[in-house]
Amino acid sequence: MSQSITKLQGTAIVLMAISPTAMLVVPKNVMNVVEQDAWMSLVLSIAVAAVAAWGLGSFASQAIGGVPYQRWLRGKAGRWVATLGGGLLAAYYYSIASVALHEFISFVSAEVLEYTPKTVLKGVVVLVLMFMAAQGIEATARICVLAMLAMAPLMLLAFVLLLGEMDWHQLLPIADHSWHSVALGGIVPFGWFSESAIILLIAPYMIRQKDAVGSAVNGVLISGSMLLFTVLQSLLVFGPRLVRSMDYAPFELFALIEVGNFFERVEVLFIVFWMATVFLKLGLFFQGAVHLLETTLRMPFRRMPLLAGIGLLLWLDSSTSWPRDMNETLTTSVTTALLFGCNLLLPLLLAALCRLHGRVERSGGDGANE
Amino acid sequence: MMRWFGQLLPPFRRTRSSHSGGGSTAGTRRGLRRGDELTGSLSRRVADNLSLIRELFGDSVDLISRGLGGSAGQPWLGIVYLEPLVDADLVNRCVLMPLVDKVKENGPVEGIGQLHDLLPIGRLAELDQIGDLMTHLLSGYTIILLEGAAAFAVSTIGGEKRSVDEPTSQTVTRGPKESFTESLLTNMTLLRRRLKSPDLRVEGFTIGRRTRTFVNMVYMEGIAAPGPVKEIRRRLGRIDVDSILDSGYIEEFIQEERWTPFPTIQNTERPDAASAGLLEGQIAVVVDGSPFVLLAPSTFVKFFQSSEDYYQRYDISSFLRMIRYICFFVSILLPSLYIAVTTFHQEMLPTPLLISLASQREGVPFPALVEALLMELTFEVLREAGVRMPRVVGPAISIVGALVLGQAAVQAGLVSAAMIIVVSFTAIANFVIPSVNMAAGARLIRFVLMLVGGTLGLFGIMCGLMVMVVHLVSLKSFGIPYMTPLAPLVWNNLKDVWIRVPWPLMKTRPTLPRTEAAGGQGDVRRQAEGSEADSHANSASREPETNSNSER
Repeated sequence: MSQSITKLQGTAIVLMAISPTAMLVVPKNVMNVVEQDAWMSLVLSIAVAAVAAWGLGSFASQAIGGVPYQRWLRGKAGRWVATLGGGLLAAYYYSIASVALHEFISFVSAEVLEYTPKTVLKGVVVLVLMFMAAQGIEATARICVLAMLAMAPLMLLAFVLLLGEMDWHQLLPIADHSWHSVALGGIVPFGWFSESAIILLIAPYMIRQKDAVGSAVNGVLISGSMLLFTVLQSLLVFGPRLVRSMDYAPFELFALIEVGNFFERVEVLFIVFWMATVFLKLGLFFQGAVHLLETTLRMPFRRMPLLAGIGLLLWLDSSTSWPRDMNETLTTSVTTALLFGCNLLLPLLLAALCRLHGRVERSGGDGANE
Repeated sequence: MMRWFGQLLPPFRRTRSSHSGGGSTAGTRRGLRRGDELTGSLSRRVADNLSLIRELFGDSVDLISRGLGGSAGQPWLGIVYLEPLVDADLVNRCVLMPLVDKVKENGPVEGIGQLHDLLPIGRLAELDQIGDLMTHLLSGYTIILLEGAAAFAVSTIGGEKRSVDEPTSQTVTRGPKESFTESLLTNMTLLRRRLKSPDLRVEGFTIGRRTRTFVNMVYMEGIAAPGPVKEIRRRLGRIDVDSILDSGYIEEFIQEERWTPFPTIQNTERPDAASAGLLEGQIAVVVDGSPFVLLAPSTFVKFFQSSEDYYQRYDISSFLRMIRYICFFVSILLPSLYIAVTTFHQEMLPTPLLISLASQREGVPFPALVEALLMELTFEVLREAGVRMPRVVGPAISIVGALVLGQAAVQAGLVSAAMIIVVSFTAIANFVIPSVNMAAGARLIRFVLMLVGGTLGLFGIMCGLMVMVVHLVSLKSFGIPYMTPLAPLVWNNLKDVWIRVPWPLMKTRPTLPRTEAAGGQGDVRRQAEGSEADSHANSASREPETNSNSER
């Protein structure tokens, strides 16, 4: 892969890694904890996530242009650490892609195509993901920018059309919950914001590696603003109690929109756009897994037949792992823990090992010199 | 003029010889033919050369070869030309008459110096290889053979050719009305007249083992990026094929991505559009025998720009351009959306509309997908028939299409009226796309989206669109990303994408990425004005300067 990703594209990639799934999960989860003070939890979470993104971006910006993350790690922390780290991250990206695919298709099946077997839908999505992976990250990055630019006017349009439905009293009483609860409410969104760790994989292919910091922080800030906007909208229109009982609050919001008597279910259009962003997220994570497998195992996973193999595995895994719908609360807790572990703790550990390895090598070198 | 013709003629050494066989008796006997390429030196004797040429052409009746002076077996001078390719009057006045008079009065012509004195022609090309001689002869040159010397070629290109006419496929209401013709020379003239700049470079190629078609690569030095210039030169040089009968052949040989419905090379029959492309850093490929000039690299948005956008006011131009983009999406999406909504997502429609559609479809025996495919295929058949049928019976097709197949099909209950409206509007929207190639691509994509829309509804359409967009952003045209300036985003070039900003606000040239000069258009105009003044001052004494041709 060539170094062709710009700072804007990096920002869009981080945004697409966070927003599509966070939009569905976060409003309900935060309001479960702090109800009308959800926006405060979110603001706190964005602030902390921005700092974490800065840290991840700084670590990512040390990458060497054109050298894959895993290979760079090999040079910095040794073969075993790089192989273990690469393998763990590949498993993480793969598992997130698999879970997200299952949840995405569950949504599509429930809302759009209830009679089509989920296995068929998953197969179609996997084919698209394989095509995306074959075309490379550059193509996905370009689409991410287009999607990012389309998001703002769409959200603004929805806001304007829903203005009549909003009741500002839904926010009252402000700061009714303790700071402890507000902080607790921010944990789930913070977990989602930690997806900015994808910058570690992207940074080597950026035109300037230093831009990784800006991309990660901007991505978190933009996705945080959008989430805040969605949470506030949901709060103002439905109030915290209703939102807590909704599975897909943003779409319930869009469902209220009516354009004259012509279009009665405008939310379908928003759903289609959201589906496109989910495709991008799935594409990014699938490519992340493929890329890490390729660099860790040194096999051409981006090409056939290995690409077909990993695609088939994803399809089978996603189709057979969940015979029944998942326990949502459990899934969210597990996912949040996984997010923290793989997006924050693992990079932190790897950074520490890099530093340690460097010190050991330096002291070894000094000893030899002496 | 001679110099120009000389420049337009490619060197014979560029021709390819990839397979053997097919040599004439004479060629084979004398060991002159190697594959399709003629090699070997000319004899110093006129009689031998005349006899060789006659044998190579198999005594074709349109080959005029004549010996002058000396005896019947040993003429002093030989004149050879192909009658259909030359201007007979020019040959008679400027070649035959002076030489016949000279031979009658003073005996043999001695050397190129004397030929220069005798012939009222600017430049003579001296030939000593049989291959060069054949190339010139087959291009409409008259060959003069001298005893004791080799051969000389005099440009007498003539023959029938179509005059410059109005474009047929890219018409405008305001703007130049000239179009390219099948003559390479005429096409180069049309370009040169518009771009009076010494920076216009022309490189020549001869492609096609049998047709030996002249192909010119034209670009503006200092504006066109060196990368694409080099790449196109390389790809043109690598073409190995029997015949090139139209620029379409070249297009398929040099395009970056073969497996795509989207065109990555523009073609135009408008000299003004080709000139504009050259000024924006594109490279033109002009093929002898084709009125369509290729322009590359070409991005997606270029296929939605019409020449007229730049000749009429910016407001209406911008409005029409947006209409074109909308029509492109209508063209690929409308039938599939109709199928998806009526089959899977009826809840999207307001109840009165849903009832109306349901009542129309009540007696229709086919599902919406089959109904749509039936109508779309019928329309494609009608369109193809309309193109192929003689002009006089063309209106009959319209009557048959509109009345018999449309109205009668609805009355018979085979298709619904709504479907007729959808298919008709889709077809009209497709005609709005200025590029025929892009419109054809849209037609193909439409069928694919109809199939996925009919099987997986909006979800399927979304998947199809996602694949299409990923494919589009991955495409490149000679190294330039196809979706530039949208993906990757180039803010500065957006002034001529969705809208066309007024000319005074277009401070910088809307160049393609990686072009060398993205300077102000004012600079270009000033340069053009300067060169125009020079040209006028010297026009009386100077022939058109062609190029610094590295290939010839």
